[in-house]
Amino acid sequence: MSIGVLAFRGKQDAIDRWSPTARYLSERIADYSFRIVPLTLEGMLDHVEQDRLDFILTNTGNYVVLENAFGISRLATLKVRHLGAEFTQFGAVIFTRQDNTELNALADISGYSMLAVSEEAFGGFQMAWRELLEAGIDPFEDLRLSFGGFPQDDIVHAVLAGEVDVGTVRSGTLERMAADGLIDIDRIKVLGARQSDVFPFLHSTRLYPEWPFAKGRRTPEALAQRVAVALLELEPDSEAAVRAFSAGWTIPLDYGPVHELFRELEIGPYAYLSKPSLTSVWREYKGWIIFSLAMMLLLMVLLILISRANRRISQSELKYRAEANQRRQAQELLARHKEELEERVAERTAELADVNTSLRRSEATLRAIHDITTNPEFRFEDKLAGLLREGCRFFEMESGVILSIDGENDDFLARVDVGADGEPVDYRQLARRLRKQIAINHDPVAVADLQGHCFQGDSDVCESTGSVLAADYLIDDETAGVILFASSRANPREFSDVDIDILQLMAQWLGGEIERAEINRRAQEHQAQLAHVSRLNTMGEMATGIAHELNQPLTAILNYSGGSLRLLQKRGNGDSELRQAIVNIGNDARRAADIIKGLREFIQRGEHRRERFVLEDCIESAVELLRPRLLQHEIEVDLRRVEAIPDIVADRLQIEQVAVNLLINAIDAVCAVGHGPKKIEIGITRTGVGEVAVSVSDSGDLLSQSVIEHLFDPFYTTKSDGMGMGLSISRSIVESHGGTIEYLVNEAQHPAFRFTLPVT
Amino acid sequence: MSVTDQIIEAGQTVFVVDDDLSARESLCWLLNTEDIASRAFASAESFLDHWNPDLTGCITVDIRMPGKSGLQLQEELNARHNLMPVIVLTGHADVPVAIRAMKLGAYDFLEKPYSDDELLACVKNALALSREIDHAEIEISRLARALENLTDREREVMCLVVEGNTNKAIGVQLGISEKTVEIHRARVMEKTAARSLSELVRICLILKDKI
Repeated sequence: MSIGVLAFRGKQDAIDRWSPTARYLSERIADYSFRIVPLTLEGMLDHVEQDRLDFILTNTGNYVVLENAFGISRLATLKVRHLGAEFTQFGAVIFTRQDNTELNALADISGYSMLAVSEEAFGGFQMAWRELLEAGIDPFEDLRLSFGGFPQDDIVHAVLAGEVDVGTVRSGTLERMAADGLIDIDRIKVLGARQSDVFPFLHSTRLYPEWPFAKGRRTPEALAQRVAVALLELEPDSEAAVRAFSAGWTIPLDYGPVHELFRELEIGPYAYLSKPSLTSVWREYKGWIIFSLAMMLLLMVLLILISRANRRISQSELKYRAEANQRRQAQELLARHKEELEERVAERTAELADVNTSLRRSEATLRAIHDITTNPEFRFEDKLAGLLREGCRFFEMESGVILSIDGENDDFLARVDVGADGEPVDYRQLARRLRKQIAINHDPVAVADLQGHCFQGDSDVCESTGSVLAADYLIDDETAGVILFASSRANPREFSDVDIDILQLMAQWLGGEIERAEINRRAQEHQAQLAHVSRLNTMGEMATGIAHELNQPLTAILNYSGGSLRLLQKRGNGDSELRQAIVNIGNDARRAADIIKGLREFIQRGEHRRERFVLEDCIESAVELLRPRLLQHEIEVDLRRVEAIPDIVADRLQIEQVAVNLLINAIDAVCAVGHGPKKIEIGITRTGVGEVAVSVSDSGDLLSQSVIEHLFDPFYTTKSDGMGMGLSISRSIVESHGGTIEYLVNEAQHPAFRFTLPVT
Repeated sequence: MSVTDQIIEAGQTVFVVDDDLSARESLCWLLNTEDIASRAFASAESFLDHWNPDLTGCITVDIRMPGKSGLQLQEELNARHNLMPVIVLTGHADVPVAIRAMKLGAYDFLEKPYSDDELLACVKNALALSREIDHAEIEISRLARALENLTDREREVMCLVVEGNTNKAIGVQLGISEKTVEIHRARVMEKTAARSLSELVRICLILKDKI
C-alpha cells in the first residue's frame, strides 16, 4: 500500500517524518505493508490522477483540490503538537508593527505594502486573502503585494525591520518565534484579531482543519476503515506520532470551510469561476497569445506558397489525362477476367472474416465476463446485471433475466432490458415453460426465430414470436434457475455453437456464484446474530453487576431499618414520628431495589432459545469466527474430542459466545508471552452422567492468585482495552444453562478454563 | 465486644458468610435485635477454616463471592457431612442458580434485599430444624453406643427378631433353646431401651449400617 505524502520540506524530511507512521500501520494491519511515497505538489496531482496511491497525506488546501478533482476522501485529521499542546485547526495571522499607529484594522491597509509566502500558500497567503477580500481589499489591486517564500520567519523579521508594512504568516509562528527568543511579541500588532476558546494562538482568519489522511478513490472501504481505526488508536507519545510532530489523529473535521475559501477566491477547484478580464487574460496567457499570433503569420506565408505550386500542377495534369484514357481501356479487359477470380476470393474471405469477427467478439465477451465476475468491487447484484448486459450485447437480444426456480416459486434475481421496442415478453412465463424443455437433460435452448417453432411437450410457446436463448444453472446438480435472453423480434443471425458455449459458461458461473453467495450470506447472518447476542449479554451482565453491587447496601439499609423498628418495639419507645421515618427508610430502600430489578428484567427479557445441536460444531464455528486473528498471530489450535459426545440442548449462540470469549482470552494470553510456540487446546469430554465439559487451555502464563480471586467479577479486567465483561458473561450463560465454569491448571501445567453443560 | 464476635457458648449460632462488609455486619446486627447469636465471615475459605462438626446453628451464604462461590461452599460442606441448614442469599435470583443451590441441599433461597420478617422467620425455622437434627444426632449416637454394648449372640438374636422370626424359629436356627432366646431378647430390649418390638425395628432401621 502506498501513502503519497506531500514533501513540503524535501523528500528526506517527508520520509523521516512519516516512515514511523507507515511502519505502525504495517504492524497494525499485518496483511498489508505500507510505504511512503514523497511527492511534490505536481507529483501528487499526477499520482492521484493515475490512481497510483492508495492513501494520501497532504496539506489541507491540496487535499480539497484532490478531493474535488479525483474523489479522494479523508479518514482522519492530524492532531498537530505545537508548543506543548494539541491542535486540529489552524489559521493565519495578519500583523503590523505595534508602533504603526495608522494601521489598526484590516480595512486600513489599502495602499500599503504586504509580504506573504506565495500565491499558492494556503496558510501563508490564501487564508489572509479571503479575509482581506471580505474587508473590501483586493490584495492584488489595492496592496503593494510581494511574496517571500519559506521560511515564514523572514516575513516577521521584515515587518519588524520596517521593510514592509504588513505581513501574514501561519498561526503559531509568532508565538514560536517569541518562545525561541527570536522576537519580542509585544512589538507586534495583530490586525483583525479573532478570539477562540479552543485556539490560543493569535489569528486574524477563520480556522481551518489540519492535514487530513485520505484514501484514494479505488482503495477498498474495508481496508480504509481499518486504517482509520489504526490511526485513531495511535498513541500520542508513540514514535509514529512524535516523529510527525503530532499527537496522533482524530476523527476527520469538516473540510467545508476550505471549499468555501476556494469558492470565494475562485481558485483551486473553483478557478473556473474567475471571470476572464482582458488584463487577467493577458497576464495569464501572455505567452500563448504571442505564440498564436506568430503561428498565424507563418500560416499565411505558407498559404501563398501552396497556391503557387497548385497552379503549376494543374497545367501538367491535362497532359497526363489523355495518356491515362488509353491505359484504362486495356486495363478494363484485364479487370473483367480478374473480377471473376476476385469474386470467388471475396466470398471465401467474407466467410473467414465472419468466423474471425465472431471469434474476436466472443473473446472480448469472455474477457468482459471474466472482468465482471472477478471484480471485487462489484456486489453480487452488480455482477448479475453486468453479466446479463454483456449477454444482451453479445447475443444481440433485447432482454436478459435470471430467474431462480424453487418448486412452484420463482423469483427474478436480475433483469436487464436494453431497448425493447416490440411486444413486451412475459419472461417469467417463458422461463418456466422452457425450463421443462431444458430440464430433460440440461441442454440449453437457442432459437433465433420462434415463429412456428415448437418445443417438445409444450405447444403454447409455438404462438410466441421473437427469439430466445436459455440455459439452466445448477446447485448441487439440481436445476436451481434459468438464465434467459429473449427478444420480441427474430434474431438477425442464427445462434452458433460459440453462442451456446458462452451461454453455458454464464450458467455454470451463476450456479457456483449463487451457491457461494448463499454460504456467505449465512455466515454473515450468523456473525450478526452473534454480535447481537454479545451486545445483549454485555448489557444484561452490566445490569446484573450493578444490581448486585447496589443490592448489597440496600440489604444493609433494610437490615438496619427493620432491626431498628424491632428495637423500638422491644424497648417500648413510642415515638411514632421516628417510627414512621424508619418505616419510610425501609420502603424507599425496597422501592430502589424494585427499580433495579425492573431494569434488569427489562434488559434480560430475551429468553433462551433452546435447540438440540452438536457441541463440537458449535465450538468449531467459534474457532472459525476467530480464524483471522489466530492466523495473524500464528496460533495453533487443537480441537480434541476423545469420546462420543451426546447432543446438547441449549441456546447455541450463547454457548458459542462463551467459546468465543474463552478463545479471545486465550489468544490474548498466548500473545502476551511473546516467545515459544503459541498453542491453544480445546478439549470436549464427558465428565459424568448427564454432563459434558469443554476446556480451553493455552500456552500462556499461569494466572496469579490475586487475578484468580476476581476472575469472574464484572468490570474486572487485566487488559488495557478490556471491559471486564467476558468471563462474567460466560459465567452467567453457563450457570443459566445449569453448568459451572472454573479456572484450573491442567496436567501439562497450562492455564485452562473449563465449563460444563448438562446433557439432558 | 462487637456483635460479630459474639458466640453463645453451647448455644446456636448463625454463621453469616458474605464478602460485603455492610451486608454481613447489618445482618448480624439484625439477628442480635432478636437475641440470635451470629458470627460473620468474609469468605467461604475463612468459614471453612473455622468449620468443625461440633458447630451448631445455621449458615447464610451469598452466592457471588470472590474465591469460592456460595455454591462451591455448599459442595465443600456437603463433602464434610455438614448438618447445619444452609440459607442461600443472592443479589440476583436467577432460576438455574436457585435450582443448583436447592439440589445441593440448601434449606432456603432468599433474594437480596430480603425483608427482615422473611429472613428472621427463615433463620428461626432453620435453627429449629438444626435443634431437631442435633437431638436426632444425640439419639443416634446413644443408640449406637447401646448397640456396641450388645454381645455377638444378642446382636444375632436382635437381627432375627427384627426380621420377624418367632423365638422358637430363632432357637432352631441358632441351635439354642427357646428359653435362652427369650433371655437374650429381654437383654436386647433393656440395653437399647426399646419399649416395643416396633421401636426396636425402628432403631435397627436408623442404624442398619452400624449393625
